Amino acid sequence: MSLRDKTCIVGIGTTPFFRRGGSGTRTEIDLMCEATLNAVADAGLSVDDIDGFSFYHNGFDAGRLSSVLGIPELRWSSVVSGGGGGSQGAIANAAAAVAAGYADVVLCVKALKATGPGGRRIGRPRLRDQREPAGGPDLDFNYPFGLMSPGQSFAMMARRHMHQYGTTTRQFGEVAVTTRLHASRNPAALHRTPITLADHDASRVIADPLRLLDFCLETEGGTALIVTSAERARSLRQTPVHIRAAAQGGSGAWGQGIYTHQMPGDEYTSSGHRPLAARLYSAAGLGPEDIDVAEMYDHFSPLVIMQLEDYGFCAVGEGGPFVEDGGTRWDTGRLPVNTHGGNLSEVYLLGFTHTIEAVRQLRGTSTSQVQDAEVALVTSGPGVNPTSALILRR
Amino acid sequence: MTFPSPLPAELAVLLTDDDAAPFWEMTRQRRLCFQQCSDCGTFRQPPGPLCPNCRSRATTWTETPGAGTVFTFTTVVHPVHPAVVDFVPYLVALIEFPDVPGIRLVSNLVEVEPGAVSIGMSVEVAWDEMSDEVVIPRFRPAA
Repeated sequence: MSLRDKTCIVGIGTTPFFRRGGSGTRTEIDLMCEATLNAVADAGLSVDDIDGFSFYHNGFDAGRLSSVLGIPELRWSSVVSGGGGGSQGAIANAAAAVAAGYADVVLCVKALKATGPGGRRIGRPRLRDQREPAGGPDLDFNYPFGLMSPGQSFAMMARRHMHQYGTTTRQFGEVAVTTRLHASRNPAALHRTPITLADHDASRVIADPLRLLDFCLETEGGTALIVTSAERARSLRQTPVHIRAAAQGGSGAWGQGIYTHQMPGDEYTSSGHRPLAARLYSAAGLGPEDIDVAEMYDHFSPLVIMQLEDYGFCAVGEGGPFVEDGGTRWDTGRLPVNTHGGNLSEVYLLGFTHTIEAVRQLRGTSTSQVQDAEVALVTSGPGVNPTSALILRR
Repeated sequence: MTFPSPLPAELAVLLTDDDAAPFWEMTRQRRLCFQQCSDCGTFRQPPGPLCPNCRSRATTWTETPGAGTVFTFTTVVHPVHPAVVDFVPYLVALIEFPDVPGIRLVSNLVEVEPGAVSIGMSVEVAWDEMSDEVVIPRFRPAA
């Protein structure tokens, strides 16, 4: 059974974007509700039409959200595991629920505060007495060695990629520079001042070989998308954006990826998306040559390079030269990537901002519009299992 | 121990569980051992209840002299937790062992400057006694 083109994204909405702490005392559910109202209005629907919720990561309660929003009857709700890797999977699940008849109008919603309960910053490790049970004893093999953040783990993967393929920190810098260039054209982006390779090289080292400008932002806000059937989408306000295909997962041996570092063979220097890419293209009946624009989860600049390889836009090991040649620039590149400014420069809200930008591209309303964009690839956070991805088409 | 510990004892407080406890019991005796399937010989790390290759539950702990190579590494410059403010920069590395194929150990490199580290360099285990209870395997350039 294929889900191909059976469902559409018909509404998108966000809150304003905030730097760390900028949303003050506003709650995650408040941010979710604001984004939801905006998405519903964008679609030309009413909150009363929503009968399903699709979530990923954490920070929500379906029961509370349904009562706060005043949903008449919640018919379906589900959540994808895998942190930011679950973002596109949540949309995939919404599509599956609509196709299966479990729900007619599914709200996919995510809000993020950069400072969590108790004032803990996102990504800050908890020592023994504060660890979440899910973190478990496996962290005994990380924390005593001071390996305590995703950035440190991705730094080790990046260095191995440099060793195996000759990738350079200048090429990581090119990802940051290009992404900022796109953000400079997007009034909603939090960092809009263009940067140069020299700026990248002068930014402070966090975990060698990665520098500050290789890292995503620490930001806050809410995001929402509405998924319904292609049939219903035809009578709604916006140009329907079809969910052409979706894929979730990763190879089993990827395991806990960036935490345990046991990824086999060449997968160590990949984003973990390689097995998904094959399934996604097969389900879509399309290949990398058909993708007009890609919105790739860019929590760390080297992961854009690895995803370009994993999705077949270049050979494995050639992602560095691909970006260095300007291949990802919105106006002249072979494959415009992160035309909104991505997690590196627009905002970091764990995934849906990439989907929202892909929808804008296919509606023709991006601030860095790719001419005649018809097919878009959207990916979720690499490094964890499951991760996920979508192909959308106009 | 002949080197200053690269990280604070505060980080080396272990939770452990039934699967992982033997690893840390043996490091207390300065023995580096990894979990190996008794049936098919596959090593696994971190420790777990089942062999992912043949699904056998039969397990042995196999000792290695701890002569390994650096698979990759990072110099951590920014302290992500207040506990390590006085310890940066420090070197985190993934170590592979020719006699323990298929797995890697996250550890640290000591007695070496970051600029002198390279992928593939040979290292040997250097035991770091963090407390009466916890001894951590770190690595120095091979003699």
